Amino acid sequence: MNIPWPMMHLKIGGRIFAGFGIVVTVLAVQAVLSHLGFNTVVHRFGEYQESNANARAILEIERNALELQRGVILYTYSGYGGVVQRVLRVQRQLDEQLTRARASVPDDDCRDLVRRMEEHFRQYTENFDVAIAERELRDHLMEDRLTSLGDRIGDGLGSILNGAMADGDMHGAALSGLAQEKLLHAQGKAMAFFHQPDSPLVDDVLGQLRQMRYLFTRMRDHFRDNAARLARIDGLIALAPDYEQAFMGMVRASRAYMHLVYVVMGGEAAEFLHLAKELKDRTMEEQSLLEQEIGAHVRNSQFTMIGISLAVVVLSLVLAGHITRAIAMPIKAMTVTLTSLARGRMDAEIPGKGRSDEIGAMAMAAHVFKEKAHELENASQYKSEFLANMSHELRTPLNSLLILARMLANNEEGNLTARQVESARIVHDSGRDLLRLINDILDLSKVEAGRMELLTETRAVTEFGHDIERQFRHVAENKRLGFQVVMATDLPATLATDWGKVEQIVRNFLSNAIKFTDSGRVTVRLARPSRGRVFMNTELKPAHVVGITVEDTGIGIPEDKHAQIFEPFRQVDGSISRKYGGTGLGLAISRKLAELLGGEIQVTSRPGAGAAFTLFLPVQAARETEAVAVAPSSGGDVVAFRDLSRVILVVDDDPRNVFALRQILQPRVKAVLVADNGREALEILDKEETVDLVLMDIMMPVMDGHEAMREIRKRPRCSRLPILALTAKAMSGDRERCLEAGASDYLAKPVETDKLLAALADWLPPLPAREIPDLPGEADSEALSLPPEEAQPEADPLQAVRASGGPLTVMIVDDDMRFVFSLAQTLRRKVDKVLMAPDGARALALLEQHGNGVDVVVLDLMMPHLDGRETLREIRKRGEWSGLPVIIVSARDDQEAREGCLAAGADDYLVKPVAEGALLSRIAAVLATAATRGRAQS
Amino acid sequence: MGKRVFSSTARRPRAGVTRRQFLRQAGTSLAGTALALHAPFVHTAEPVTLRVMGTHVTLREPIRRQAEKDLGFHIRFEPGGDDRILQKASSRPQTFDIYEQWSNSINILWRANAIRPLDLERIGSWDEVNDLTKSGRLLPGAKVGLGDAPYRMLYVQEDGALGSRPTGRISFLPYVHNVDSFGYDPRVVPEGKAYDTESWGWLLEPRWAGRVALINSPTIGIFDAALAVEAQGLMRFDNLGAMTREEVDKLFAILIEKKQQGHFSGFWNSIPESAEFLASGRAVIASMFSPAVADLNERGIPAIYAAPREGYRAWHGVMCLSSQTTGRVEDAAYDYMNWWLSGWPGAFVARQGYYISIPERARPHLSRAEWDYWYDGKPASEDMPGPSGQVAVKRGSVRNGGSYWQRFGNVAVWNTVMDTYEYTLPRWYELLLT
Repeated sequence: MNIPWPMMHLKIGGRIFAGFGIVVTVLAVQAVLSHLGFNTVVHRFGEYQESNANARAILEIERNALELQRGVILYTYSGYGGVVQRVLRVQRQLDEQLTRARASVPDDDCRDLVRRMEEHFRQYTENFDVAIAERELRDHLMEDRLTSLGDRIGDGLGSILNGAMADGDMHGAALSGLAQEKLLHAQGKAMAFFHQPDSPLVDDVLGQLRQMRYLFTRMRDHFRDNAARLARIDGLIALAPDYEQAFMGMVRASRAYMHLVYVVMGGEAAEFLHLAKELKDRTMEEQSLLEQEIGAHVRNSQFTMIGISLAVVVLSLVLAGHITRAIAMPIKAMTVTLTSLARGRMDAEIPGKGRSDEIGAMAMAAHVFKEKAHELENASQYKSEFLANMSHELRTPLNSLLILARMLANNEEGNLTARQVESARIVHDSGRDLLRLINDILDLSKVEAGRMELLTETRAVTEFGHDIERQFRHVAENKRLGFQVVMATDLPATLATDWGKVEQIVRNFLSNAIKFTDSGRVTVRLARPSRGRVFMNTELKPAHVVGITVEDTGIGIPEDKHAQIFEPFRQVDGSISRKYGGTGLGLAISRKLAELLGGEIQVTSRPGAGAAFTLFLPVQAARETEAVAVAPSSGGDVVAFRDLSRVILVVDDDPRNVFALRQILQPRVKAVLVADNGREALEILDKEETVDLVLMDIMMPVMDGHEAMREIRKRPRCSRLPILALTAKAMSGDRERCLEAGASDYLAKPVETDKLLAALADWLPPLPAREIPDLPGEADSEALSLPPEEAQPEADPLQAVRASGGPLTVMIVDDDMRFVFSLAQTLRRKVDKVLMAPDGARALALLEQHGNGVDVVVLDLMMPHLDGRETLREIRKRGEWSGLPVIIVSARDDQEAREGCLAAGADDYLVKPVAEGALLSRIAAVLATAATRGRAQS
Repeated sequence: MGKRVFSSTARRPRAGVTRRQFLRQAGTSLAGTALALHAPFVHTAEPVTLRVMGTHVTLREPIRRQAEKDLGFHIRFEPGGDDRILQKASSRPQTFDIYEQWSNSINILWRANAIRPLDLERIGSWDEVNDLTKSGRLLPGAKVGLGDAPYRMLYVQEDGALGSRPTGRISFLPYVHNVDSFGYDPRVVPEGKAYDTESWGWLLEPRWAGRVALINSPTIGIFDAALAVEAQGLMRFDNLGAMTREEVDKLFAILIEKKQQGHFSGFWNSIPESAEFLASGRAVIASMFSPAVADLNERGIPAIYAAPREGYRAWHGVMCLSSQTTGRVEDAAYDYMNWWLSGWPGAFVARQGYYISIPERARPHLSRAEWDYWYDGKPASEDMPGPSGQVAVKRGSVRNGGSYWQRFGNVAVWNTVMDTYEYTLPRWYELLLT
């Protein structure tokens, strides 16, 4: 992510813009290159076409040149004048073509070639003109001059021959005939040369003519007497050189003509054609180059386009990768972080810190959000702590109020009127309501302050369903509502969670459902959620969740109020609380508890169409919760379980089991009673009303556990007595049978110490009242162990102590005089003397004053001047008071305070409000312990 | 007719003033002769213009300027390709006064009555003209060479034919001459050894296919080709200077086949063209004239003029008088011809690699080093200029083929118009345009 990327300095928008900008730029470059490439190709193609036209023109020139040659040769052999016209026409064409070619050829070299061609062409045409003239001259000399001269010589010789013949001059006739023969020979040879020029013929002709002229001289001699003939012969002698000259003229003209055509014009034509070929080759070469260029250009363009396209693809992939890596992934991480923060996970790491873009800004904002949330959480915790403390402070006066109101209502002295009793009862009831509200607030505060602890256990899900059905069926039916628990078949067999909290939530749902439903039915469904179910808690996955839904056919809740009903102190309508009662904290607490369990609550409802509240619980995540959140607290609780006020009855026929249980229990409780079988247990229970809990074995002689439990439950006093069934039968169904028989819980043998102590902690919490299950149908649990209306007056636990010693003096030290007074009122009926002190200093003074007359001190922790802890320290400093039993009474209900006080020397620690019975039994217990200690010391 | 002409011109008044320059150059020993000659135009209002038709070999601007300066009349040069000017001269003698070409064109011109005999009495230094044209040999025992050796047609016989028997009239004035072979580009063609490895056969070496050029002239090129074919052992001639029709047919069959294989890259018509063939790389080996090689060397392009072991194809320049030129122009023509043998032009053409018929008159116009190099075939003792004045010969270089005398002792054939001339023409045409 920290790759050196220049765009890291840009905003996300800028980066995406830059990225796409680059791609678009590359594409634009591609487009421009394509355009340029295309233009070049078009341009080159134009050049190619031009070159092609040139090549065609040159080919045409070449063709015409050959045509010209053909014409000239034809003329050479035929001498036909029509050919000349054609040759001249071709010449004109060529002339024009060359002029055009010179203008159109591409470069100077080619122009020079054309110029040279023109030069040769000009020579050629000039020579052709000369050749025609020479030929005409030749023809003229042969056909006109030579023939007429020959004829004249022949005629002359003929007349001389005839004259000689007539004269009978045979010699003269012979000479004339011979000369005539020479002339004919010469004429023949000349004609032969004319048709087929050959140098020896010339010599032949000249030789014949020489001989003819020699014969002429002989004839001149012979005919010297004949003047007429002599004159004629002289005429012939004069004609002979003319004839020879005409012949030579014909020869020269023939040679000149032939030389012109065959050598001169042939040479010009050859050179002309050579140049034409060169020009053609150049043009072709140029064409070929252009073709190659065009080809190369097209190929280059193709390669460039493909290259750019690939680059675009690669670039796009890189950009996509970069956007994913540098933008999408950080945003996803940020989403996870913000979700975690929103769900209160303050340890969530914030990604993207130090970035300069929007993600960096988001990270800073998230950081601020985290800090604010942290502050808020702290503030909430302070508030909750304050509220918790406050609640206890409220309970303290409420305690005395309730006790005194109860006393008044009981009218023990019988001196109150019925109205006064009724008023006292109203005061008591109002106080109890107030207490309930305070307890709710306390619960909520505990959850919010993170002080609610989880006790995870694995339990069969169906069992929970049955429990619910058993507990609520009659309540619903009382209201004439149908009630049904529906369990899906694919439920997990067991589920590890804090079942107590689950029950608290479901109870809340049910009590609401029954409360707000006037007719119809209430249904509890246990099922896995549908696949598509969406959860607020992203850790919940439909496949690993179990849902517990409570449906009703009641008044329903408007859609826009669904969120509101979970907020503390808010209800859908103010009138509802007035009509239906309740604190309105139940769902708020339920939601908090659900979150604590790693689950969540969802609601679907419409006004008039009933409502369905579902608690979703994680199936797998439960183990983690158990490991992380529960183990330390439960371990601490279990190990720390010690309640010396408790009396436990162990019912077992196996002495080894009994011994083991005693070993575990004796140091932790006040007394361990033992019964061999059920019947014996009943006897002990009948005798000993102080038994707090029964550990009941099942398989026993005389009376087994099931029967014994049923018998116990028949006794009203023992209807709520915690009975833990112990059995070696760890079979399914055992537990159900035990529970049916009246067991409160079930422990499998061999009993593990931890589990036993955990169960004891569950059933015997330090606040005895909390352990008694709430009445079914009560929307809010009642924390204070108010003596039930129907409960029997308790036995006096101090009797045993009093029996063993003299008068009993109790000192109460508390700055809250209402508490002191009310407590004193109660105690005076049980002890001999009650001393009261408003603070530690006065208490110490009173102790000083009464010497060893004080048997036990009930000391409040929070007092002015000298507080409870200081006072306790002062007391323990004095040797004579070191054994003085001191019971600390405090509104602080936490382990730390308790352990601190016990360590400082307190004998017991009670949380306000203090129930009268409990206080008395504690006093009895510490006195008994002190007595034992005293005996041991003495 | 010649005598009559001579007589009429000989009687023309002479002009000394305008001859001064000439006289100085000709030397005192010649003064009498020169004065005996004519200088015809003093009294004329119209200046004489001498029209000289010929080839690029001798029709060069420095020569024209020098001649005008020395002779005092206008000279107009009309240079052209061999055959072009030959046909023009032979058909229209009225278009020129002096015709300069090769001995092989004499027969054509002579028979065409385009030229007329020169009177030896009007050639002042005739006695100094060396034996090459008079007897055919510079040194006794030298190979005369096949074909029309110039001496065989120098003298105009009584019957009007041309022959070697000395008479008072000659058909041409012998002046420039040389031996020809072929030139090659040593950057491509490995340098050979004179008279040893260098051979006409190289022209038909398949290695140089597509880079071989020949001269476009049946009277010259046919011998180069024939020598090459013979050297390659492709055929033998009874008499290479007088081929039979069968021999001609066979020769052209070989050449045309070669042509069809793309062996020849072209046929040049003029000396500059031949130089351009090698300069442009169109050819790396070509039948050539020595000025083209000198020109290339001057331009810094390496070219070697071969000394083939089969012997040279020799040529001789002929200076002819038009049969139509008379009067003052005829006098000017004789002046011009005499000027040519007087020394300066000989030295000038020596720098082109040519020889002059009176070397000793050219010698004073050459440095010692030049003479040693050009005539004696010795290594150049210093950098030497070509005809244009630029350094054409680097110090230390040696003329391929040795001295004047050695070279002319190795003549295989003279440029000749054979009896089969007409017969070869269509064959040549075929060769050109195949």
